[in-house]
Amino acid sequence: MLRLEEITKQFEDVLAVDSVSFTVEPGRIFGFLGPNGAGKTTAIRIIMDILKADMGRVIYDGSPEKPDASAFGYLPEERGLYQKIPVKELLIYFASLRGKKAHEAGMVIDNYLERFDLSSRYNTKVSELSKGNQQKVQFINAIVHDPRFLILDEPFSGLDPVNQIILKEILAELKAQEKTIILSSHQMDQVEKICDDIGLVNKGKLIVSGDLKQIKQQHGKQVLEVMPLEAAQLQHDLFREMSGEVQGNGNIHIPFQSESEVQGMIGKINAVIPTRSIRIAEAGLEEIFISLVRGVK
Amino acid sequence: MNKIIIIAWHEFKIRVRSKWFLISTFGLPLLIIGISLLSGYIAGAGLGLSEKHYGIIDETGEYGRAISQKLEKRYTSDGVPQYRFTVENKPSQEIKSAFETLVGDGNMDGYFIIPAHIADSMEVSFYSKQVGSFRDVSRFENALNDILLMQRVEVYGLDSSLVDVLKARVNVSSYELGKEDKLSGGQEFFRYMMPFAFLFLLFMGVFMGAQLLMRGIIEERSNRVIEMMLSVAHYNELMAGKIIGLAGLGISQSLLYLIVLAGVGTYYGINVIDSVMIILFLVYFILGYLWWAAVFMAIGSLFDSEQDAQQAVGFISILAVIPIMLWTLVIESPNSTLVNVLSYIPIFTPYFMIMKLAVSAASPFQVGITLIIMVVAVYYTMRIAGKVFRTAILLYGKRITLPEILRWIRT
Repeated sequence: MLRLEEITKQFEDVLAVDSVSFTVEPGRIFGFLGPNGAGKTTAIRIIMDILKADMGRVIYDGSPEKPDASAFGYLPEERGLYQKIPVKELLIYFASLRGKKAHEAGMVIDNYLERFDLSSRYNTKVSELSKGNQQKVQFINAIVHDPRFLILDEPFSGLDPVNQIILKEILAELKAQEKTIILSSHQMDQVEKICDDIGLVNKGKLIVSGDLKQIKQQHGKQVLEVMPLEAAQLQHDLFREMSGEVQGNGNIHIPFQSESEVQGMIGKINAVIPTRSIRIAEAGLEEIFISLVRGVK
Repeated sequence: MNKIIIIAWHEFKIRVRSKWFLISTFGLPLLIIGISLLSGYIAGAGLGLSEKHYGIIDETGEYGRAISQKLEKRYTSDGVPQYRFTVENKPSQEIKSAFETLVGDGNMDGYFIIPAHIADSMEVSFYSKQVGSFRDVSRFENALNDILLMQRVEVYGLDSSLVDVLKARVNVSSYELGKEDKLSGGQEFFRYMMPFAFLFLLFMGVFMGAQLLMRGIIEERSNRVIEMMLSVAHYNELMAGKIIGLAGLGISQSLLYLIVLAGVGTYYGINVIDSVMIILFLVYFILGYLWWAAVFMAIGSLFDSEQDAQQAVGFISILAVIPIMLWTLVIESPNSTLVNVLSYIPIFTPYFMIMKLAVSAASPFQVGITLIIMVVAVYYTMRIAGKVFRTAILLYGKRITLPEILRWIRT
């Protein structure tokens, strides 16, 4: 278990993390979500003891002392890999710094390279790998030594859909092994499906945290989800008037106050824009986030 | 502790196996040996020599021919004369302008004018396009002087066998202390150059090691490896590991060069290296390296790119080069006040002390004091550098100002 208690960190004139507290339970995936620059990476660096908090403390499995590096699997936001060293040698180097014997680590590494379809690249220099493959190496680096705590900063960045699925599978396995997992991302909708708990941060402040389902029940709302026949129609003036938010998958979400308005809205839309489908849907995390941020204002 | 060793070994390993390290380590001594062998061969085989053609306008009509015969006979390579002279005994403006044209066109290397009253004026003029022929001119001078001397001996009715006696000159031969064998010119040269060789080794090892350290830190900072490293090791472990790894690199390189130096010394019959010298060399090497490593590490943690860092490094490098500029001073007057004062300034201490040791001009007292000064300087520089490193290393994309750095150091 990992608990942050009133963590605060100030840089010169920016309050990067403002009295943030949350708890990450073992066997659950905690989504640490918020836009870029919200303070996620700073908070994670404080958890990793790379930065010292100005105030507050982190409790690791009941103790304020940070356990040895071998207890942590860390995937930093930006690719933190030596560029001129072959993949396997690099992974063995980091594993040995976490107290693993080279040959033990070697077997686990081979296994994961195989899984991520990188077996043939074990002797390739990191710099010669694609961005996605480097991210895979980075992820393997975070888990080879079987850590108790997994701290993953933007783990999906640069991965294609196939590898995203492999990563999600492995995360599910690690969750089943009762690991304590934090996963940070600014693409909230992308990760919400795999998270059990979430913490939403904005400008250094934690807006909400806890069980994802409860949060969705409490703050969630329904929207009118419209899919126009042509994607270009998403920019239609009518949608703008109705303050619709364009979604990634060709949909647009339009908020409404009560269900009685819905019939009238559908009629208006059908009159001007040919549509493929119109339905009432659950708002995504991002919409909840936006409405909460507005509410805070 | 274990992590420090793992990091040190990694830093050492990845650099030792890089092509450039191998090329520079083994290439440099090979290049030096190669050049000295080659230049010896060229000199011995008479390559690079060509026949020189000089003109002589002889107003006396008696010396020109004698000189030319003497020089043509005396200086030959493989039986071929090195000099060819065109002697004119009837000076005129035409001949002078003809010689000038020959020299101007490159068909003659220069010409001499021996005036009619040479025995009184003792002055010969020499005209040429370039000034590189001083050796030829001095040979000409010697030949003419000999002829004039012989002439005077006859004029005054002296015994000509006296000439050699009168011309005899004293020769100073050098010996190494405690040795009976006379030092040859090569040996003397080697002894003269040896302190410089030590200085150069120290400079290369210390400076290259510290520069590599800085480059490594900048690289890790710019590709964010540093964050990964800090998640698996503490700042101090990371710093110590890197410093030790690169010290190992510098020491192994220096030892290799010392062996080469000892080998060359043995060839010249000089015992360059005794155990005390080796130990002190290593001690000064390590202390000097640690001091510069701390400085370069702090600089490296401040910059995102090597180009930016080079400006700061350029300034400091000027200080580091001072001992190299002053090496002849140390060899010729190792106990002058300037050298002694500079020996006690930590930036210079290792360099000046190693040179003083090489010319046996350092007292045990001086060695003791300078070692204490270095240890203290290294300790405080490391502490300050550590503070800068810790604070700056994760501040990406931000210009760090001097007042900020001073504030970190004070806290």
